[in-house]
Amino acid sequence: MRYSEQIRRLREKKLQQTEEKRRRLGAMDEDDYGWVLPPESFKLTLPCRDANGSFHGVRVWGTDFRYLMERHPVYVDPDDALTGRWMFMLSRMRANYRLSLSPFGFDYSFLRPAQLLYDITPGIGKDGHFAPDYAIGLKLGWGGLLSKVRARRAETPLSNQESQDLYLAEEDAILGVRDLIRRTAQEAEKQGLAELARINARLVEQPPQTLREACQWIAWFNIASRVYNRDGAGGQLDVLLRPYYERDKAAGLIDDEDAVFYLFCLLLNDTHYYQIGGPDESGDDQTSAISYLILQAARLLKSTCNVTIRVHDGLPEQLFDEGVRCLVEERLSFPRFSGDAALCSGFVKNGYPVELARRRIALGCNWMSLPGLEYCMNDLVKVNFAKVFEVAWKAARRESTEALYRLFADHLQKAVRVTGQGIALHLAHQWENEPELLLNLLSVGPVESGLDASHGGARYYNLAVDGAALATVADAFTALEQRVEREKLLTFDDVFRATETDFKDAPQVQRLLARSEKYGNSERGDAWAQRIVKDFSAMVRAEARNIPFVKPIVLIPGLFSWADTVRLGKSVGALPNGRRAGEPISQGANPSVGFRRDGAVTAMAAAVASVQPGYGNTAPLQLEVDFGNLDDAQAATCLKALVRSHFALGGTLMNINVVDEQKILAASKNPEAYPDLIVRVTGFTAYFANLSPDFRKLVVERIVRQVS
Amino acid sequence: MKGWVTDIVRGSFHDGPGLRTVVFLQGCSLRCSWCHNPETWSAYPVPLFYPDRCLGCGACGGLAEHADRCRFGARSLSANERTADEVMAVIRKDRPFYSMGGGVTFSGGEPCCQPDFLLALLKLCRAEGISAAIETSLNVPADVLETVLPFLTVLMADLKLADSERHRRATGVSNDLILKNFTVLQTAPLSIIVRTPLVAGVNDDDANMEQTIGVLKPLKTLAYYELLRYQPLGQEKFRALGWTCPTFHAPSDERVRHLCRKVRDADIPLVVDGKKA
Repeated sequence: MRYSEQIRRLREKKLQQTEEKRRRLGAMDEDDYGWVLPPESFKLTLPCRDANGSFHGVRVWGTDFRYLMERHPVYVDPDDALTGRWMFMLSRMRANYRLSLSPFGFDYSFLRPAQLLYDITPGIGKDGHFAPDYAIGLKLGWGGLLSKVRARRAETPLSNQESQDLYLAEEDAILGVRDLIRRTAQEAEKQGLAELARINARLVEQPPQTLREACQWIAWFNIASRVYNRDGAGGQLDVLLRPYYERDKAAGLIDDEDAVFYLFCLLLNDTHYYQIGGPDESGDDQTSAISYLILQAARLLKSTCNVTIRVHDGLPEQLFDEGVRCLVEERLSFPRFSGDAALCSGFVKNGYPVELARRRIALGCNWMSLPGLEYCMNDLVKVNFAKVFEVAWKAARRESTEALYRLFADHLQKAVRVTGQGIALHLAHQWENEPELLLNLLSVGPVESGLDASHGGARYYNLAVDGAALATVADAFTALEQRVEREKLLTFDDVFRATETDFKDAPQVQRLLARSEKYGNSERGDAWAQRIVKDFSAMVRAEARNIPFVKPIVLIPGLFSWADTVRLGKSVGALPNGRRAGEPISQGANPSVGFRRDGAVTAMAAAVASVQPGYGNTAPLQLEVDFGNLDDAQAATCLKALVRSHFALGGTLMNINVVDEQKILAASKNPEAYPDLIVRVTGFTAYFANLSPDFRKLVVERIVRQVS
Repeated sequence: MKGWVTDIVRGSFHDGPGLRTVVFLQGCSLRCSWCHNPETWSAYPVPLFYPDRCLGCGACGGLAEHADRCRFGARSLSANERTADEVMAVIRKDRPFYSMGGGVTFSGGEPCCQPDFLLALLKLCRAEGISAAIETSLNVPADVLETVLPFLTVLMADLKLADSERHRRATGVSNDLILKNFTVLQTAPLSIIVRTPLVAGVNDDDANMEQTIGVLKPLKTLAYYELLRYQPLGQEKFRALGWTCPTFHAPSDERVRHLCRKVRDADIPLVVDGKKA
């Protein structure tokens, strides 16, 4: 390949940048994101801050963002087909920022006791987590977007303060982005990189015309939205770029090697989530030549990447086959696979047409999103089933599992209620707390109406509420039912006393409970898990009625713990499944680690398919599998059967790590010796060496082992 | 119909094509000292004891015959009696995953040591359209083999040693019956995989490989021949049975490469430890 030497150098540089991040910042339990460190000498003080060090307000966000972008260091690499890397995140410059809890300048102390009691991750004040429609930006360019905002502002009465403020802030945001692009073009010029200088100078104002310009435009939007508030969604990349690719190729401007190199640079620039393949509105498959080139570029990365293939009946076998082979041969944890049939049939149950359901694509860790049309709080709101169970367990009269379940369901209802109240509060104030200045620009509605996407500007409000710790709680009910009620080996009081002391003086009770039947390996375990999901889903959906808003609200249940299994486990004491206090909760919709002695990928895939909430959001199957010495072709055959079958049974999303267990174990002991080892922690990929010991342990423990 | 089942493993990658359910049956007529599953040798269940799992609860009174009282996995019996319907109920759970060539593999022990039970299961699989395979030592009566063959799509046969006397010394029985059954397989209309567990000093010599190649060449439907380097996977089970575990080693990489060359020179498709060689 003509670009192989550039690609080699770019990959080396990426590894150096990653190592430098680890050296300077220590463990990072998040997506790699593609960001790079600013120069150590770089200092910045934001112009607008509250007394407490945070900031809020529509105009303030616009001012601070523009200020930051006008000072953001430029990044130009002569090997790269594109320019720019992001170095800061404005939303995290607010005092008291936490990944699980954002600053929010509006009082919700009245909700805190219940949120803490049930360990709710409320999502209040959390940003991004819905998808832009890049097509809007690719059509208008930054100049067109600015004109659109200014035109709408001119048409809006001055008395409409909310909209006027939003438009002014949007102008600041665009001007900030354009300033960084302009300065980058100048730097490229200075370095004698004429083509990069020309492309960037043009993109300050104009929409892209070529494939390379389109990739650069997307990279700039990604950089801007990352700097603003991390954002992170992508889009249907093959459809977005297809016209540029086909036009350039027909005109003889590029060949496929050029295209692959530009795509490589786009994927290297940022780890945004892109879907390829899958149906269009009418159900026809969207795969084209560029879908394969995207996969080819991803394989060249040898780095973190979040490409997802949408699997449906019309998907070309070749794309599916190449995706699976990429997963098996590269062992870089991509692509992911998204199950079209269950996602579409589920979303339709919310009252939407199937044509719309097909446009709702897999972006983000567990997200489903209608690009540019929907505000959805994906992966932000979580109910910790384990904590809810613990509350019920401590309060129960301990007479039967049925009575305990009724009490659990009562508390779950209260937990869902307080979750809904949190969402209502978020929707009422988020536009002032942190408007979505970047995502608004690529959405249908916010600029047109002068309302932030969080405040009625978006077309649809399908908000995600995820349950976590399903297997932990299902296993607790199953163990009690088996050991206390069926076998009568223990009494409820025996188990209660043991959990109260964290099994300190009851190792036999702990072992007995831990060795009980479980979700994934027994009919009763599966039945408990399905019952919990069914009730939770009904409660979540019904809760939408209690949320006052200017547009119809739909709450969509899902099952996802992100990588919060460690954090959510810390708040929960010992439980009747033999889990000790503080240990991690179970992963997403997965059965508990070690649920079967043989690992049984098929049992796991069938179990996860059986607990799908079924309204268009995901309950992903998280699978770490070591194929041992199995031939790659055989391994690919097994994986294809697994993916097809899981989706046929109703599965929605598969996050798969094909791993070499010995390598992971060695890397766990000496991470820095494996700087290029990539793992998919949950929905996201990361450098294994950059994870904290807790997160590394999480991945190691999940590996499904089979002896050949 | 009931039989002794030592284990059922779901979703296996390693026991035939595609994703497979593997049903391990009790009983084997060979006594290979390097065996991974020595608890299956007896025709009937045998007690196993894993001291490190014992919490000293006293439920078993320290007696192997009370293994069923152990709740902690320290004491167990090597097999449970199950009906064919019970086994099929487990198989059916994996059925959605049998696309791409997957199915059921009956293994052991030697699955043909329970011929009636095996046949009943094979018939049920056939009736439900489930592809079936067996992993066999071929040290089985010819009439049993001929009865089960029509129900199989894949047959995986071990050939430990091609010389009869050496085979007897290593496994306790001669291979006369095995070699006779290989001749039956020469024209059998199903996919055949032959495997040799390579143990240093036992069967990794040139003479054995040359004789083995002689057995393989006439097989018209041989999918491939697989060499599996010895792994000490049976050691914990030997100890749990209260037996002394003999020490074995895998041949050196150089030795394996040499043997591979011989197989390839004979134009026989070869797989080593799961990978095409």
